[in-house]
Amino acid sequence: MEFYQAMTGVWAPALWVLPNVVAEAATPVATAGFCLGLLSLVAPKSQSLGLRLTRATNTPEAAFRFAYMGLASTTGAMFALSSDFSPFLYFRF
Amino acid sequence: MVFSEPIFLFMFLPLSLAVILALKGRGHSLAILIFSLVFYYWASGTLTLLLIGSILFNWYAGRQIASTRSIRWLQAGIFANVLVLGGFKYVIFFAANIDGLIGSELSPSVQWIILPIGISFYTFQCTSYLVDIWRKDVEPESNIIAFGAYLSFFPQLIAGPIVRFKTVIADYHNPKVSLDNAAAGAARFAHGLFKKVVIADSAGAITDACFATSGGDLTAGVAWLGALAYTVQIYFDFSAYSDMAIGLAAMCGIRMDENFDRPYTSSTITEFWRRWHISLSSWFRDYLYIPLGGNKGGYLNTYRNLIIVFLVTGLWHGAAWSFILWGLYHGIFMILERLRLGKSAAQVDSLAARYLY
Repeated sequence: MEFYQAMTGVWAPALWVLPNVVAEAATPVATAGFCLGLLSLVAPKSQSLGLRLTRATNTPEAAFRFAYMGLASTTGAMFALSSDFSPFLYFRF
Repeated sequence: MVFSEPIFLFMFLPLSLAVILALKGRGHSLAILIFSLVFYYWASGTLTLLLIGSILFNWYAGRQIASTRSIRWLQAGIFANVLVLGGFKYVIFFAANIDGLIGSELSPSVQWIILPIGISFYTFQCTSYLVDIWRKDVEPESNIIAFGAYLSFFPQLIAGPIVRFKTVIADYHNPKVSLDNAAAGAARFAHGLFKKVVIADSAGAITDACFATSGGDLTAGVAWLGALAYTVQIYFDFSAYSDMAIGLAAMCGIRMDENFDRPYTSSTITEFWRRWHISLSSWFRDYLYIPLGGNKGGYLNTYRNLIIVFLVTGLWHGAAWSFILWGLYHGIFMILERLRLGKSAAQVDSLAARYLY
């Protein structure tokens, strides 16, 4: 309830100041990842990168898939090796 | 062991894929079954015996339902699956509530119960398998290795999607192993890995910090940032798992249906539930909402059925009153949208107005 009460204080400018613990967690990398996620909220409904990767039917699409796979797997593996392990949320269900 | 752990990425995955892809026919299913049981044992230890028991029981019950056409077998099968799920997932919750109501002391005696990972998913797969046999939508599986591989398939065993037997069993008998499927699967898996470790875990770090604040530190900015970060985290975390599962399955020659379809672009709650965790919402539609009567029998019956389905959906997500209230909240919105709100909300073009709703 304390959390919901805090949400209602949006009109007081001083209340938008982030405490140190949150500012420290919001590293440039974490902020970039979070912002990338936010982009999905405003992207068009018809665009799905997952489906595009799965259903590549011509040479340009296959080339895009190959390039994306290289980039995503390299970045993903680097993050997986360098960051702390975090289990999937849905495991609790 | 989970998909984003180095031991999975660099040891289990290459080894299991090499063996599974090298084998054909029954060997393919057998390899899937063995690697899946090893994968599950790694996470759950002796609770693997419960999974093996589920495989044996449901395989046998399915054959009995088909051969005897006795509803007793169907009832026994559903009862057994509900009992397993209820026993492991809800006993502690119900005991605590009974204690609160009548002052008994049941809770301490059931605290030893551990929730087996993935039980909510595989018991639902078992139940739909038995019901589909009863409805004559599928033939019972004669090969227990193929059935075991289907039920325990490690890519989707512990966090879904909830895969229907009738949609995939042909691929266990005749896997669609090809270079194109392998490339598509690898790309999809990499996509899921990226979403999990780069986006979901980044948002998760911010979420955790926001949710850990209290008192004077808990400002409106922290509260809204925490809510927004958690919104990003839960979608990317869960859809990443589905991407990785779909990708791994494709690499093994097995095609799985999509589990997410851009849920945060929905204009209404009704549309949201058509796009979020599709395998769960369609399961509840086919095996609870429609058997209850669906939208037949008038408005009141439809609304009652919606409330029941969403209360159970809430309870499926967790044994706590907060989940039940969350389900009720969604059920009420589904009813309001059927009354009029849904048509109005769907007509809104503005992105800001959509998210405000």
